[in-house]
Amino acid sequence: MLSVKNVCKEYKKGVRVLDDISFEIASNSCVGLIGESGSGKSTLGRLILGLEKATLGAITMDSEPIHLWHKHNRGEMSVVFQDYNTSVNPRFCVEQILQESLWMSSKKMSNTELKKLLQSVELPVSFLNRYAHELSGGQLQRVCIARALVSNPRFLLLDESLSALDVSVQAEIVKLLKHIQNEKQMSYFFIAHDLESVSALCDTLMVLHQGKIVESVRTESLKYAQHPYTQKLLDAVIPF
Amino acid sequence: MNNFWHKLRHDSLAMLSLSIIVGVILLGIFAPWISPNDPLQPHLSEKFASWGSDFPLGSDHLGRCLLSRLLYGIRTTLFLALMTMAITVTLGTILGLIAGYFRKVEESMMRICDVMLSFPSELMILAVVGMLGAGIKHVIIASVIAKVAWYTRMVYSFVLVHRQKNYLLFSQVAGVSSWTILRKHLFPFILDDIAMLATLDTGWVILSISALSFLGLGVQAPTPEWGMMLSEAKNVLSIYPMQMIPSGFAILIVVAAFNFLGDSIRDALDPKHCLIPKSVV
Amino acid sequence: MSLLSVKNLTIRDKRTNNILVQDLSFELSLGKVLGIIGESGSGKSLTCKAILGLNPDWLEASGSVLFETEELLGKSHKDLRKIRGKKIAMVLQDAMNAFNPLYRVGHQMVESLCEFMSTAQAKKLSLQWLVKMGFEKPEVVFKSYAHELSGGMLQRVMIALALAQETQIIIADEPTSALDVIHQHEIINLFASIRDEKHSLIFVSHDLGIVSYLADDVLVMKEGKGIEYKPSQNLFSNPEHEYTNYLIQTRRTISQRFSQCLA
Repeated sequence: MLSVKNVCKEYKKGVRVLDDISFEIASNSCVGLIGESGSGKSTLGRLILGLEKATLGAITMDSEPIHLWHKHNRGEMSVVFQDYNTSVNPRFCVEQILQESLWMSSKKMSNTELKKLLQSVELPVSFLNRYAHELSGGQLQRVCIARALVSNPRFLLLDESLSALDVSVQAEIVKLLKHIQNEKQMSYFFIAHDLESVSALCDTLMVLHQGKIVESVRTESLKYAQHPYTQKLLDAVIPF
Repeated sequence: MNNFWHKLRHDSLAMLSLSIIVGVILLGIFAPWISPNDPLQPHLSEKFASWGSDFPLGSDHLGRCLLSRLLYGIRTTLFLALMTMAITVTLGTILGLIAGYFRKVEESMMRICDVMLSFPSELMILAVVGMLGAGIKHVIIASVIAKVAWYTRMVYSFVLVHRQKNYLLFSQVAGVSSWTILRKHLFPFILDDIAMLATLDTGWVILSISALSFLGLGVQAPTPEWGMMLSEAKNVLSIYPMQMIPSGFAILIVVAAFNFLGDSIRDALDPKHCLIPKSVV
Repeated sequence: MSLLSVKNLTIRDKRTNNILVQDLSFELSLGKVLGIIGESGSGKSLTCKAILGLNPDWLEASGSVLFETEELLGKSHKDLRKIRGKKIAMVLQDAMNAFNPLYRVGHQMVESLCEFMSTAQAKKLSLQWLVKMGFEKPEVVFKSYAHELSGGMLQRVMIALALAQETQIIIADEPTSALDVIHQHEIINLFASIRDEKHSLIFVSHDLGIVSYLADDVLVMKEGKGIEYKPSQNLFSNPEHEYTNYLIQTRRTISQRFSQCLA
């Protein structure tokens, strides 16, 4: 589905934030990208979202260059960000937030559709008239997930979507995301720094270190990981 | 937004300023019906009349009714100032939004603004009026040119604050067009700030139009205009100093009202400046 | 004897009359680590700040906070300043905002320390502690500005500062929540390494994994109330309260697959 080939990104000449990145994401799969802050993982996310252009290399979706694909397939890719507080316009109530994806299509969601959507992210219908500051972090992140689902995307990018949440809420969101994937048949690309939550959600893990993908493993064979940096990441997890 | 009106309503100075401004505007609109005399009709036999029933605020060196001239002067002074502000704000907002949101033109537009801002605005106005010639149309054009760069810059900096917010990125990913993003996301945010700036600045524009008329560059005689009335009074200062008082005070009060209202709007918009504290958990 | 004992601490918002923390009691003995867990909004941070009188004036704290034999609640700001940084230090979640961006990090460290000693001594001491915090080139860190260091490095500098002051109690309010796993690991090990007879630690987190790793006693908070207060091992193996159980279950769900894959 998504294919990234030899992608490099430079902001300053000679300083590569991303260096020769290649990978593929099959449809209906879930791939996780792990790296520490400054490793370039969010930049990669922005390239895939079409918000920025790669300096070198090609990103294609269904063998069509990504920026063209975005034009032809509006709403087929969506995103949930880490910082839920800035993810929604603070002047909008939940209903307006959810309607936003449909601004371009001159359609509006009916009340029953809105209700169904809120139910799918396990929020009560009474939330439709609430504003962002009246919701807790977990609830707001659920609204963001619901908003991402409005356009029925086939590909969902989760950019550190769990990191800012409490652990108990993280667990619930992971459950929710798995449930949604089963129901709607879509691909996830999950960017995070936390091995535990990534392995809870994803089938394949990629480790990004200083702009390079140093290792790519199936989650089940995580213990056979070779690269010293992956080892370091594995050691850093405090087991519970 | 409710909070904003609530705060403004409890600010007595703001309400006083607002009622003065609204009152003056109404007086201006109804000037033909309220004014006791024709503002342009000279009564040479009754020049320098003192305050009384025929001429409530006296008459000037040509025997024209000062009150009538003052009321008709609202139409020129205040309405022209408001029109100038409206043009400046609209233009500045559009240019600022474009400069802030479309990165391709950002650099060039901001550098042009820098150049324009490097001249003092009074000098700029004088230069433009000097080139185009005297006349009220040219004064408005000059004022707009002098101020628009500053507004563009302000709107641009407001947009910059919001440009990297995730909800804008989401809109972009969802394929929402730039125009819709500007209209639905960014514009409402900057509207309050712009309203505040514009209110504060209206006082400045009134002063600058009056000042130019005072210098003889703006409104031409015999059209009543506060700055020009002041200028005429200056010529007869030694004979009849009272002629300065009506127009002088009118300018003072209206400019002060706009400045106070602008200050109050700014305080009301500032969430940190709270009358009623929000509960913080 | 306990070093710090908090009894029936209640924090009320004077403006809305909401009770934010209610009847909270716990004790901290010398050389022990107390973990406080709870979700965001449960009043963990308010409690920590109330101990040092750092809450804004419109939050009224009642009850008692006894440090050794001194009552801290109701003390004047001047008196509290003698305790802050000398007897009790605090490490905040957001290290990025805890440093003044206009001054070098070292300058700020020395400034906080030179109340007790000469400037030269303060500098020497800061450098020593920076080395202990795992900085290979402490001089470089000493001369950097806050924006030149990463969040993890700043957090370590802040901990170095807290330790250099040789306070008896360190209150760490979510010190690792904003950090990457690797840096989080370093910080946790640091805290583990200073667990000795001279220091006591209050460690606030929403992550049960870290708390179970560090703490001797654990206090579970929900909506401003202390729900369960027990020795750590006892709590995690045998949770009494439903909410504690919920927290443990959800934490397990997250780590379950990871542990399976590694096993």
